[in-house]
Amino acid sequence: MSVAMTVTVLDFVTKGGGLQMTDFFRDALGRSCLLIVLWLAVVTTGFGSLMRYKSLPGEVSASPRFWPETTLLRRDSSRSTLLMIAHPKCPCTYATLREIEWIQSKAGRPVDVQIVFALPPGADESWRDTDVVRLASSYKNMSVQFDESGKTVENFDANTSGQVFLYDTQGKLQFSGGVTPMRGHEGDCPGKANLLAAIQGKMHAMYAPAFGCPLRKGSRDL
Amino acid sequence: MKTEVPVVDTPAFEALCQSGYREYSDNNCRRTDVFFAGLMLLQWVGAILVAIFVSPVNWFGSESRIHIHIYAAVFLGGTIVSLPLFLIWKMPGQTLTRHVVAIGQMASSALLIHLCGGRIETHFHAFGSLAFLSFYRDWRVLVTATLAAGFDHLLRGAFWPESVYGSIYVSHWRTLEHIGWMLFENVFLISSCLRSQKEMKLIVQRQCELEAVNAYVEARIIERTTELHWKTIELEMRTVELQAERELAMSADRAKSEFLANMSHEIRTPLAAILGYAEILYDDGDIARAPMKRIETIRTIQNNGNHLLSLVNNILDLSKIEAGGMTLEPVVCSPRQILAECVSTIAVKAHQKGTETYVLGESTLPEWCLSDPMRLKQILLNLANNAIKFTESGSITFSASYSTDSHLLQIDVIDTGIGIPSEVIERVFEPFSQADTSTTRKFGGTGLGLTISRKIARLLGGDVTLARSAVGEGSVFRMVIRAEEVEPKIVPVSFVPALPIAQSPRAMRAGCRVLLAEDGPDNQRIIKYMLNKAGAVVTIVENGLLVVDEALEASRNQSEYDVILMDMQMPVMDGYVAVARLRAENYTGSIIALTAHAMPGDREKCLAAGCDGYLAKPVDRAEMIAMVAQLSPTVGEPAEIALSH
Repeated sequence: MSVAMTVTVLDFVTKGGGLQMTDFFRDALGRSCLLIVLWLAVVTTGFGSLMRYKSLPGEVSASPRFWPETTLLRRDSSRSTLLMIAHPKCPCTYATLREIEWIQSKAGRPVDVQIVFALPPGADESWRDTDVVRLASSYKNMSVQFDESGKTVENFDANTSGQVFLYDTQGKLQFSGGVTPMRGHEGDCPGKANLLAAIQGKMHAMYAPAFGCPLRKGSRDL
Repeated sequence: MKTEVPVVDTPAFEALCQSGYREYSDNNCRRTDVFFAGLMLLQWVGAILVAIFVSPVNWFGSESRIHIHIYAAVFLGGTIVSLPLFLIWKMPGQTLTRHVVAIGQMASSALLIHLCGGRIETHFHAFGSLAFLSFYRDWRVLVTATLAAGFDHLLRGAFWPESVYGSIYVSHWRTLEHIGWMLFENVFLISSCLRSQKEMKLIVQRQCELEAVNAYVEARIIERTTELHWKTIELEMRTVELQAERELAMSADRAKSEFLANMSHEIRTPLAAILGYAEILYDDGDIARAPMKRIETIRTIQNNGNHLLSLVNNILDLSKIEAGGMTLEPVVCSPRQILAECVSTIAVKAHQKGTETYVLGESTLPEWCLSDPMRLKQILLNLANNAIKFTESGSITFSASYSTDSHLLQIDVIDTGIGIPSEVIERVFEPFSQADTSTTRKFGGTGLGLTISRKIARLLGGDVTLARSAVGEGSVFRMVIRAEEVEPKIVPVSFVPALPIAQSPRAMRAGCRVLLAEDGPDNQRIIKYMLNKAGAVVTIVENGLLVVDEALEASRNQSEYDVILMDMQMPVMDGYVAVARLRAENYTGSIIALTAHAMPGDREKCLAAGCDGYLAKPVDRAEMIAMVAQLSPTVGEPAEIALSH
């Protein structure tokens, strides 16, 4: 049955080019059909693997429920504080920065956005002037800081570049996770929606998967 | 075999068109395959560059690894383009190839979208690819591409919607919407493909028609060329035949000329003897005392001899004209004088027949004109002699006129003779033709006079016609020739009116020494008799060799001959060789050629050989004596011998 249908479909396709069915069998089915199937299988598998990688979230640990007292970062008690910890060279972080900029514009409430780039030990000055850092610095209403000692990463227990934390005016954690649907992809996703809802004081989920490079050596990645 | 006009509405033509369309379409697909080979390679390289630019590495703190996008761009991108490129290489233009290209192109779009981070702008690559795929002009390729894109959207929409739509909050309608937009584009592209196919078929059909017409034209050209070839061969064969016929005709003409020359010679030679002896008989002794019967006999011999001579001369003239050998010598001459001479010539004869001669309109003729006086006179004498011949009583009138506008000289010869019946008027100008056979018997004549006159008149730019004729009342023959009037001031000083040499005022010197070279005993006697009678001293030799010896010997002895009369046809050495030898020995005396050859060119031939004069046999006594007198030295007293006929 399926063979008959295949023949019918192929017949339909090939007649557009003026070939007869016998020609098609001789030229295509006889020599190329298997090759095409194999090719399609490899391509499909390749895309599947790529999708799987890009939709695999980074490692997320339990974030501090309240603004850590030991952190050197200041918190504005008059408004919510949105903290993003990122790797200064992570290509996936572009998408996260653009999503935060979008969320900030749509929030309707004042938010203190702080971007902290976690510098690895022994990082030279070039780590402070990457494309990602420059993009973040270009946004108004965002403050850019560098975590040279790794204290901030440690205080907030961040593992994945692009992980976002939202603390309310009392310093209570409102959201923790990523705001992109996949690695390096912008677009609507639960993290983005939950963060926006948290800022606006609406009902939301507390956590969402984060997609990005590991902040620390030895973190899980593909 | 005729080539048929090409018919386009035939199965064969349809098959030709279909074959042409397949070829045209196949060529187009091959070109588009090559285009996509380049495009896909470019896209592959572009994908690698995008991956390198956007996401070269993954970071793990301070450490980095090559980003998976790089691997995806190199290996997945390479896999995507591999089969299309392979098929383009191995099966260019094939249906399967372009469908695989369509799938590969859509896969390339998907990969680029991924590598660009799912940017919605990169989706335009898919729409652009559809437009490029329409280059194949095969709408089914667009269907395949759309199906491939739709399958991708359905599959990823189900599992990774954010990778396609940039959001995970999508319904299945979003997939349909995306496919719908592709179908929307396909509507235009498929429509364009179908129109393009139609145009392509039309172009092919036109091309086939053109080729059919070209083939038809070529076939016609080949056909015509072949025909022309055969015609040329036929023409060449005909030319060869005509050449052979011409050779035959020329050979016949040469034979005729030779025959005429021989006939002329063979008739003139005995005729010279006949006329000469008749003249001797008439002159020798006291003719007044001779019996009348003898005188009549001598006259009869002379008349018949002259008639025969006239006949021979006319035949030679006619032959000369028909062979194109008669050349005119237009000189300044006086038509009045020519007319007067003619009248003078025939007046006595006419009077003897009891016919009066009149001349009208003589004063209208120009004083001088440009024409051939000898031929003009010949025509007039022919017409006048005819008039005399056929007029028993009454008159012969010459009515002359001249048109200064057309330069035409017209002379009518009007007689009151027997006239010509209307039924034979048309024939009178045909050779050897007279009114009827009884005319010849009664009046004599050769029937060539009018023919020759007309032909000469036509050579002179005019004609001779029978203006009118009535039986019993007479005839009017009209001669018209073109004779341009000239002013007296351009008349050359040395001009001497054309007079017969016999009428030259110069007389032969008494004791004039003449060396006669003649092998015929009859002619020896006659010519010697004539010359002796004119007062010359004649020495006779029989051949050219003796002439040379005698003339040179005489010169050495200071007793040169005044004139040599040289027969040109003699045994041992002919006259031509003898004259040439004499001239080679610096002999400066006068030599007069004497020959029975009176064909066209004979005079010139003799003069070219070195002769100073030319006399045709049978010799005219007066002409001969006048020429001898003219060419001999003037020392001494003129002879008292009178010329008599």
